[in-house]
Amino acid sequence: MNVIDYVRDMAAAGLYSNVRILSSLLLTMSNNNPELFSPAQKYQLLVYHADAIFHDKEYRNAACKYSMALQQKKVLSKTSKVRTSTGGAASNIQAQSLPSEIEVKYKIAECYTILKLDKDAIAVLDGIPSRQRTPKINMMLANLYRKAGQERSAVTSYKEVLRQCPLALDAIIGLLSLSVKGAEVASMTMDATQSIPNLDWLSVWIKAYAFIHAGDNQRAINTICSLEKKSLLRDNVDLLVSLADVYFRAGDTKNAILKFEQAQMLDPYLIKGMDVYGYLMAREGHLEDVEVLGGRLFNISDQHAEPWVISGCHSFYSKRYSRALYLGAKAIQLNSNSVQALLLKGAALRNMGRVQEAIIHFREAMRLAPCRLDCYEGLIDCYLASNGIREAMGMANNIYKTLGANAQTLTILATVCLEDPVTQEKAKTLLDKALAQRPDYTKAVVKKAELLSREQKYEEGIALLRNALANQSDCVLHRMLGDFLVAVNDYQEAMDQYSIALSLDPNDQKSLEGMQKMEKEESPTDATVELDGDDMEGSGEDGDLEGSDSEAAQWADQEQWFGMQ
Amino acid sequence: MAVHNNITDDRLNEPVFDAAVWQALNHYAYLDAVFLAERLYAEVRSEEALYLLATCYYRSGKPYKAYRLLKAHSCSTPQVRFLLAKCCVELSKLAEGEQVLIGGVLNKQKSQDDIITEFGDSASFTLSLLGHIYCKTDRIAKGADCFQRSLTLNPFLWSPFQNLCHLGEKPDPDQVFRLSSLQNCSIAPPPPSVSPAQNSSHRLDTALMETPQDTLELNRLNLESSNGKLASDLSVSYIDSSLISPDTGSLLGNTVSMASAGSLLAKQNKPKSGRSLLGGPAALSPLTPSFGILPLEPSPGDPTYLQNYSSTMETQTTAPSKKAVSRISQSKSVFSQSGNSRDVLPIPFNQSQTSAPHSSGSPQVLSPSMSGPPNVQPRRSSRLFTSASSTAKENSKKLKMKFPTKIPNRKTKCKSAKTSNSTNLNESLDILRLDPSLSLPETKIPQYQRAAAGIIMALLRELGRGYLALCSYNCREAINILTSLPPQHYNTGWVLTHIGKGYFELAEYTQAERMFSEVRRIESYRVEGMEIYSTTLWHLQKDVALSALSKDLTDMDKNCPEAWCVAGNCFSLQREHDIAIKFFQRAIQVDPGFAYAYTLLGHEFVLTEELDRALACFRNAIRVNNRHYNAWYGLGMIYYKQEKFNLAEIHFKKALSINPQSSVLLCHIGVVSFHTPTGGAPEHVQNEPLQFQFFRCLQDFCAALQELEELKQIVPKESLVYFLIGKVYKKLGQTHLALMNFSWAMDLDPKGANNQIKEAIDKRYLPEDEGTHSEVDDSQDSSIMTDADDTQLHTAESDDVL
Repeated sequence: MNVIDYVRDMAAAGLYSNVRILSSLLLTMSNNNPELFSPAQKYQLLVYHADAIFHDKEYRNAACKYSMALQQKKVLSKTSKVRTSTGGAASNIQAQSLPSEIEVKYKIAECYTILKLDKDAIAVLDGIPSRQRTPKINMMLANLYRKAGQERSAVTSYKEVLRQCPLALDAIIGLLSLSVKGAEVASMTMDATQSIPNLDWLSVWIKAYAFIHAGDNQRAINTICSLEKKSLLRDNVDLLVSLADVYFRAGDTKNAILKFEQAQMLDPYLIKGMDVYGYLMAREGHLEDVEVLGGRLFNISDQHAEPWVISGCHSFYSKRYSRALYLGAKAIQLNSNSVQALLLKGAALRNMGRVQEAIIHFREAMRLAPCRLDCYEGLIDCYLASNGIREAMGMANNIYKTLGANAQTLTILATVCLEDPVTQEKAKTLLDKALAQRPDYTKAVVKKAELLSREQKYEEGIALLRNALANQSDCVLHRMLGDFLVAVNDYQEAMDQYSIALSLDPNDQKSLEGMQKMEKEESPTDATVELDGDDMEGSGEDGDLEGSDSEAAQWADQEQWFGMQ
Repeated sequence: MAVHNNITDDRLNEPVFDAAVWQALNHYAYLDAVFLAERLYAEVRSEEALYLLATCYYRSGKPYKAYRLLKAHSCSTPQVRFLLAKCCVELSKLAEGEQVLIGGVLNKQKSQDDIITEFGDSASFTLSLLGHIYCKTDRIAKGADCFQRSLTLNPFLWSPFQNLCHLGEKPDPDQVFRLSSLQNCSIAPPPPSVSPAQNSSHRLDTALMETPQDTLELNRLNLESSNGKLASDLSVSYIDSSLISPDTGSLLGNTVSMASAGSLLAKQNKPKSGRSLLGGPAALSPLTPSFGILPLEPSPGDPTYLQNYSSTMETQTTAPSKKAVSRISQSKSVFSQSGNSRDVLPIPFNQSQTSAPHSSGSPQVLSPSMSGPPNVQPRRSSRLFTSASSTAKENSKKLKMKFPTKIPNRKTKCKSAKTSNSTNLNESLDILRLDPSLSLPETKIPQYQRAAAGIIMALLRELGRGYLALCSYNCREAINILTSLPPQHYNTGWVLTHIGKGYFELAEYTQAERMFSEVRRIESYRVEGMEIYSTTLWHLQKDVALSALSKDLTDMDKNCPEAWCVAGNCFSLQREHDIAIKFFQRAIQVDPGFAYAYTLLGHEFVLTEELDRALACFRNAIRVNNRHYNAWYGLGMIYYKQEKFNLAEIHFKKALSINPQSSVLLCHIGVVSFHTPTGGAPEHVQNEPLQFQFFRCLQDFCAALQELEELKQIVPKESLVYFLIGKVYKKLGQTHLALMNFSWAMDLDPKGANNQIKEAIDKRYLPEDEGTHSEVDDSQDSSIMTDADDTQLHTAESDDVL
């Protein structure tokens, strides 16, 4: 048995650390005395050595060693050609047992991908003649093409994958994301799947993802729901995450959170999509839950962007922007495709006043997820923050045109219009349109109410808010209603509304302010009483029964003083 | 269903499992039920098993388990969603519960009609739950609407009515509790009018997509899996049932088991309507026993019904009953084996067979069925429901209602057995008695059932009127209505408690105390309303009775807020305010939704001068129940103390709008409006009737009082003025106003420089105060008067100096 055979056996047995040391020694021997090993043997040694290094995650080193192996292979093929012409059957057998050149190239590409050298990776894979490409290579190539924006090549590669493996669902998703028609994709899989029993859901599945990538959220939701209803696919985590994601995109936060929650209950190790879940919960103010979720995900893996994003969301919504920025950057570093990470970093940058950098991040997020409205919203906010109303307007119009006139796009456009005193009227009609489509869309209601309060049409605003509150209860809406009621001097109702708002969100600063303001207006008797009122409201509202003793003491003092007066 | 199409050997056990679980549940063996259900769910992982397991969790008092279990799975059937929503509400995840019930796609909510269509038979309960959610999230109008709809669907439900009253709505009991609404809904009297019931049930279960074949298959399997002894039993019943229902046999299959399946189907079909009819009134369990015999009011048709009823009862306990009995018991045993029904109780049936001859007509005919649990949930047996409802539709005509006649009883019986296990034997006897009565000619059946329902409705109307009056604070009227109830209802804890509450609101504390002590005598286990009793005792300064009550209640149930409120009041009376505060806080801890505890805590904080905390407490009370006028009053008092008169007035007026009869509130508003800076003309014009009432109050004063009033205008912050006014009021017998003035006096002079104030307050309900004034008392009073006058003079002088 040859020493090379030992190395091969060890490599096959997975003893990479041993292989690494041994092959390194043997390679040095070979370098010092080229006669010791044949070129084929040296090629083998190099590949095994590179494999071991790859396994140790030294990717740049591994890529270098693989390239050396390839070089060696070239030499080998030249010499073997000479040999085959002389007719050596034994060498043929030996050549067959050599590690495949294509596999080595794939490994190199993998190294490059991990090192984020996408162009080099594409170049290596492109070098493989298309007939020799395995599905694995095609898949990787397609993903790389798509990332690099070479859509046509990507589509061809994906189709190639599908041709060889008709049930490659990720390839299907890839195709759909490149706006290939659902019917076309379905036709490619149809032949293979028709004969298989219990796969009738596949066409529906393709349809659902086609809707998702076409931005038709409503129909996507309906399709996925119909899939879910089938008892065979009930409680599938991936479907649930997709469904939750579509709900989120459609602006239905409640359902989105419910579905995410269900998914992560079914699979506690779920990572995919959890960043959106964390973001949603943070936005809804469940910061404690976000913290718990983040910690849990860190335990599962810190090599994914999601836990970092969740942690970042927590920091962002607890107003620690620089921390959020750092965490977002870390998440992007781990996964440069993470839309949520880009949005987080962008938002953090914006709130820290670095608007130009923020714009770059939002643009990138937009490119990655053209169907997600919050990318556009973030960008528009950036423009508005830097007084770029014109750009904001352009962007809003753009969304409105590309994504169609639904309640969300209309509201975005109206938000921009509201900033410009010239286009107030337009904003109003837009908001009316949005509300006609979705009467309960909170954002539109809030904006409309703001507009009405600016125009001092309080009665109308009250009617609007009451109408909206008939179907949902929302802290902001109650608070706004309170503000309106104060404006029409209905203090009692206003008080009610503020207290409802506070009961929904005890930390809502604006409601507290509104209430205090009202009490001040109410009792203009003298300064001391107002002071009392402030103290009292500040400490009394949170429903904290414990309170602090010092405050109570302070009160007692005031009381006494008051008595003396 | 896919599961049944390819049944493996393992799954043969499912129905047996199922039956075992239900049996364990029915016998309160929750541990066993949970264990078995967990096994079953591990075995089949079907949605039915999921539902069963969740039900076991829920019934064993672990809603969070059910919640987490159901949440992790997509729930498609209405019953599962209802259970999940119920758990959500119990865990106060209201938004989620709402989402589960009505959440559609993209914020589009389902309308109530959609819910009614979707939930079918259980829609009334669903709507009630939904209404609860709406009310908790401050969408009163919608909530009220839900309750209304729930009541129209099922007039036997009391809690929606109660909630409506709490919301300040004024539902008309005559409109709500009437039989005509009963006809149109799914709880129509069962046998002859099959169609309405079936329509609804059919609607309910379209989601399940069951076919009769499934059920037949199931039954066949059940039979195969049954052991030898039972099989032999079954064979007997087969002959019987196949004799009775040749049509079913030919329709559904050709084997003997098929015939039995047919009987099963028919059997499963009927009981639903029967159960809901008879199960409904269970919400009023204390009222039930007499329904069979005593008409509450001379209502038309009742006497005839009774005569018919009793006569048939006596005549028919002979031959037909025997046959019926045997049939019941046999098919019952089939049933227990097959286990597709939750209410399987083979044991009592064995007894019933043996003891059948002893039974003879006794008045308690309907009692077992009446004592079923309130708020019956949709049950697992839906699978059979579906197939039953679909097939029975076809079969009903052919069968000529042979089975249905006896079926409702069986169903109701089983249900009741669940609650009153000890009376199994009696119940099974009752079955025998019921049976003949129901195998009357068909025309008489609806009459009988309508009459029974009519009696219940009449009672509910009366109670409803009383409760409504109480909730609108027409306490006199409420007391009148409630006291005119027939004695067997009058002498129950519920009624007496509410009468007591009425007296309490009228500030007739001695009367209230009498009522409550009667409640204690009759139902010593009653905790509802005891917080009011404790406050009554507090007002009456009966510390011994109060501490006895507190001890008893806290010993009995440490998890009810009422007990801790009583304890708090007890210590408050003994001026141990810190301990009282602790107990009130514990009451809140035990049940954060108990508004009265917050109010009491608030008052306690006021007493310990922690006004900011008191404010928070009152606010919390309002948050929990914004029609809790005591809390509004408390807030007003605090603002008044802080001289924020506008705010005080707002709060008093709010309280008054809730309780317009309260003289205390009226006077407070009057006093406050004197102080308001803008309290001039506009305010007065706006509230003319109010002001009028206030001045009318004033007119009752004697001349001295008017002088005092003038004095009050001059020196508004002098406690003694109020004290004197209080004295005068007391002389006039207006204890309440007196009290109010005393407390104002106290507020203005909290350090108690004038000890006589406290004494006077403490004495206010002592017997000598209430009875004819003794000379000592008078002299004491006069001495205080002079004393006070001296002080008054003194202060007046000091004022002048200043």
